[in-house]
Amino acid sequence: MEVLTCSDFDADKRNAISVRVNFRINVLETLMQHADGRSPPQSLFPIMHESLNKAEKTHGQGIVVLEAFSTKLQRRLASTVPPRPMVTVSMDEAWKFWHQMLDDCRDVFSVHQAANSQDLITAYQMFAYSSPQPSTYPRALLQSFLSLDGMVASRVETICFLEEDLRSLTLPASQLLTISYGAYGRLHDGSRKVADCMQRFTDQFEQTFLNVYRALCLNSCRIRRTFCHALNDWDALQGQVEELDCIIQEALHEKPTEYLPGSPPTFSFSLSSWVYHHKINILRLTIQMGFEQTVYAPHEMAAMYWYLSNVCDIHLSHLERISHFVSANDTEIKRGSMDGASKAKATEECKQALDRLYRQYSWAKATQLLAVTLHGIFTVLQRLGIFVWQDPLYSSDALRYEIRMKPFLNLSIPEALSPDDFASHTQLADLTSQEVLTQAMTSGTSAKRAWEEIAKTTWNVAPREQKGAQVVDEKWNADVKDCLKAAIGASLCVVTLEKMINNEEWKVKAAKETRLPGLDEKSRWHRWWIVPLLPAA
Amino acid sequence: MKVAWLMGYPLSQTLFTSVHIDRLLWPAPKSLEDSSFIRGRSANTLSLPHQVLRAYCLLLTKTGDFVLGMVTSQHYYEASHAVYNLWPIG
Repeated sequence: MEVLTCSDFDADKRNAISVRVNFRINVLETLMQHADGRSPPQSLFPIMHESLNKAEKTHGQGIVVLEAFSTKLQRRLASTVPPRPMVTVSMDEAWKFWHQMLDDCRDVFSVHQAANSQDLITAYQMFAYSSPQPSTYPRALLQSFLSLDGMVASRVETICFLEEDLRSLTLPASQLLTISYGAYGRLHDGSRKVADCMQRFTDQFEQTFLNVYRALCLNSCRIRRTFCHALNDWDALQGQVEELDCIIQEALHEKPTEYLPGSPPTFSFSLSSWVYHHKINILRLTIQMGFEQTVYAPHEMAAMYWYLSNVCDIHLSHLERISHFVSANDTEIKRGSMDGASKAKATEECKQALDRLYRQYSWAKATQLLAVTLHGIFTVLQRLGIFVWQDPLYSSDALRYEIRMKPFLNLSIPEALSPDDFASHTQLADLTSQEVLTQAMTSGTSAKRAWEEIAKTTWNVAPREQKGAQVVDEKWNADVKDCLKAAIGASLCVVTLEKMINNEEWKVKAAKETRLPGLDEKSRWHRWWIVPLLPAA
Repeated sequence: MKVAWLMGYPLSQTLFTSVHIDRLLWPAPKSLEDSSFIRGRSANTLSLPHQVLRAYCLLLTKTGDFVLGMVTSQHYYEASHAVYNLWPIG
């Protein structure tokens, strides 16, 4: 740079070159910090943005020298592939890309504000679902936080991260986690078996659990694809973990309790309950991402929203079951003979787990209600001949069902339905259109209320430091508000349908004009919630 | 070119079409001094524009090296994310 200032170079050109070289130096500094696992100083980012703006303004000073580039250089590659054309992007696109990439590289560090595994997945999801999706480098950087010096998000070791998640869901104040720390010597009879089980469990899930976070750092199509595979892996592991649960029950002499009135007493199955909870979450995300990625054809919308509501129903029942056993444990602790401080700590852990379960419950309930509403809307539209499969010549309902449900058919639980059962559930043949709309109206109103309630909360279960987490907070709030808008949009759609269902003229118009909003349209309130656009009443 | 590479296009179709970067990196330099447009000639003896261009190209390749290092050290899918497998640089 000194050379430049001393020269008799044209001042404008000198500035233009200096801005560019300085920008590259700052980028290099940022990347070096990243490579060392450090967060670069925040002050660098405004400087780099400023450099980009200056570079953009001085772009006209340069002359394009086409001879400086040649595809002939590709002949040196050890490949038989003939030279391929150069790839260039427009300058407008390039400036936009750099600004976006710098913002993403700055924002990605906000995930460090997550104080626990639940908040961390929310932060990762918010980053993964950003629009436009961050480019490969910031996503790789985000992924690097999962195993930086053996720590997850610079906070806890991998094994403690897994145990923290177990403790916050199915195993608050549980002796099982103490045993898993390897305290063989202090254990009573039979607990060696338990310790072995816990060891097998942690060996199996230490990375499997972290892989869910890793998957969220892939590009969006890969996220869904990876989840489709992960579902079957988690399903197979759930079976194995149930066996571990049985060994633990026997070794610890767990007493079964009555969960549902009238049904035989049952055990908590804490470890496999944890697996099932996460498996259903992955299943729900896989289904929902299908809407975003236009995986489902318009005639499949009704069925897929029903399936989503069904999966949420199952999740709600499962969360209730987990809550029941956590509450029972809490009651037992309160009655027990623990000393004051330990008792207070244990009951606090139970309370935190119940709070977290309630958050999961609220989210699953809001999702279920909105899915039921949209299922009702699409079912009625299909009865009006809109979004109906037009060409049954080269396929059958059973084959189409098989291909659509392929990732989910092999799951042991939730067990896949037969094509006929699935059709009877989704088509609601025993209800009139008016009845379907009345149901959709009720669930639409409840969905709106449920999303309003969620909007009153914050993205994080346990606030660590608000400073720096603003990005996640903003993204989360915007996401929930979009869901709320979709719920309102769906309710309005039901109102229109109720009003016009018997208007023959409107029905003809609707058959021609009804369409699904594209991802970039404003009326697509949320990427996962497709509210059809009907002609005006 | 750099943006096209960061977007996921192969090096051979983006940065490595640059004649200047090619001269700096081929044959693979053993030291920073080796990385010269004319091998064996000290960078100080180059004309001013060439000195600046050399510094700029080296910054470009070194930042590319860091990007490559970060992405390949993580779990990613070649081709579906980006093509990073040709000609290691840096």
